[in-house]
Amino acid sequence: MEAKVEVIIVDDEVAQREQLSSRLSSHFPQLKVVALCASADEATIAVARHSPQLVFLDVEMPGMNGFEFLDSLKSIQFDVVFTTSHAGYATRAFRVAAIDFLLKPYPESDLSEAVNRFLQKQLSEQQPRLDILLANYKNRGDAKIALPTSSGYLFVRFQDVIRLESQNTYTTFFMKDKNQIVVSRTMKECEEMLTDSGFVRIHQSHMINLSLVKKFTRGEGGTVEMEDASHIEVSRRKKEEFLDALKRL
Amino acid sequence: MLDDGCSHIFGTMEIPNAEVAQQTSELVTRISLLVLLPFLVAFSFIVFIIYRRNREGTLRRKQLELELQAIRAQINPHFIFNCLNSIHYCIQQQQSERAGDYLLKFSFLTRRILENSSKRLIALEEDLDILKAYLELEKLRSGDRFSYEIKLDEDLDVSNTAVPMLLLQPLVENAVWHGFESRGYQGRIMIEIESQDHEIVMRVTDNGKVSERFEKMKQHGKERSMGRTLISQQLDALAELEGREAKFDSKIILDETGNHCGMISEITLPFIPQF
Repeated sequence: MEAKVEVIIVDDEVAQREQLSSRLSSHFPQLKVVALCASADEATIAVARHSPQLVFLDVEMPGMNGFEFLDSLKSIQFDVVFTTSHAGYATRAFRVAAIDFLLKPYPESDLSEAVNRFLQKQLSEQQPRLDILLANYKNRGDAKIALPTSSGYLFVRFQDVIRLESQNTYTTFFMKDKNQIVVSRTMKECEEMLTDSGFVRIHQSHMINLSLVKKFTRGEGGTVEMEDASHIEVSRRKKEEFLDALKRL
Repeated sequence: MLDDGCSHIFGTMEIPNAEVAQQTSELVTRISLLVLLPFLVAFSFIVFIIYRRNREGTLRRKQLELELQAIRAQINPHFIFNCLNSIHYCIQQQQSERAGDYLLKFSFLTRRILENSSKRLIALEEDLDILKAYLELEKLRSGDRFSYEIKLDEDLDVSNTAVPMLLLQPLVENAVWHGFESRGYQGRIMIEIESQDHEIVMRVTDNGKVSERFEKMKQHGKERSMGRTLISQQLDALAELEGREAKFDSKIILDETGNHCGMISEITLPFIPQF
């Protein structure tokens, strides 16, 4: 018989821990929940004792939060599925680092998807993305974003992205080094990731890095010239928002 | 140097010819001032009026935006407590699975509403997602007593059309709560959205029982008129903000024999692009 995958659940709410544990044991016989932890401190001990392969980790906990807990470990030898109940900073951070998360309360189907991705070893290259997540969270070095490509992930610095342009369900990232990266994300999804990171959507199909604007020419909406000499139209309805953001820079 | 310059000026002033010239120039200055004064006053007055009108415009705009916000704030609690009541009912009936399903849908819907609640207008695409979530929730609550269909005009760019959030929700709620109430009644709701020269037309048609609805309206008169009032208020504020027209009208549908067989409501609002 194949050895079971050992799982640890970390959540400060007892109801959440127990519900997840019973859901996992009734639907996934391949998994074995070896510890339920109510805090980062308990989790530190449990991780050392059990060396789990998978950890369900709540982000918002009193004391050390989920990010700080991971950051406190010397090395992360397991995959992580984050759980959170807020659609705020944390979810944006996960999207930027292309890391899966469960938004509580979540339906059975979301849980199955996350577990199946893990079982199919799709999470096994999670390490570099976890590093980015933690580095961005701690403001260590230059903030980076993980762009999913056909062969894996490309990690680029925010400040190297000049602008984004959408083509239906695809979005092209125009880089400082003249490279173009095509990502199978809609502009709306990219906007959700990049808002509050110095990017502003100025048009239905354009988003720009505010710090790389060279010139703005007034017009009905206006036109911006970017550092790569490209000229992008600002739509009439977005002009005010764009100028406000520019002022705040 | 400085002393020399001064004595030179005082010196010239003592020459009588120059005195006459000075008097003339003073007169010219006075006359021109007198002529210019009314223009100056008129000019400052116009500037003042323009300034005040701009200020009034900005204030009125802010006021309208606050009004819209306040109207939306009324919708949310009303709807939230309806949902909570239904979840409570499921729990009391020990239908735990249904209560769980309900709660997940409610949580999804609440999250989307909260995320968008600070926006005056949202993309139609987003709004339809939220409306669908609401319809699914009502379907669950009513035990699949109705079905719905959403028809969109082909010319409609749902990602670039801006609308007030959940404008149609009171109409749908009205049909579900008061039109399809009797047992064994299979309700149908049709939502059509069309674009017609710079306007968006939203139409909600249902086959709900009108007489029963009127009965209910009399009983819950306040509640029913609240939904319609909310729509009208939002449209009025929107029309004033955009400087364009918005309309809202409802009619009873009659069959061949003249019997009531449903209701149709139509909302016309200006097309506002998202970008």
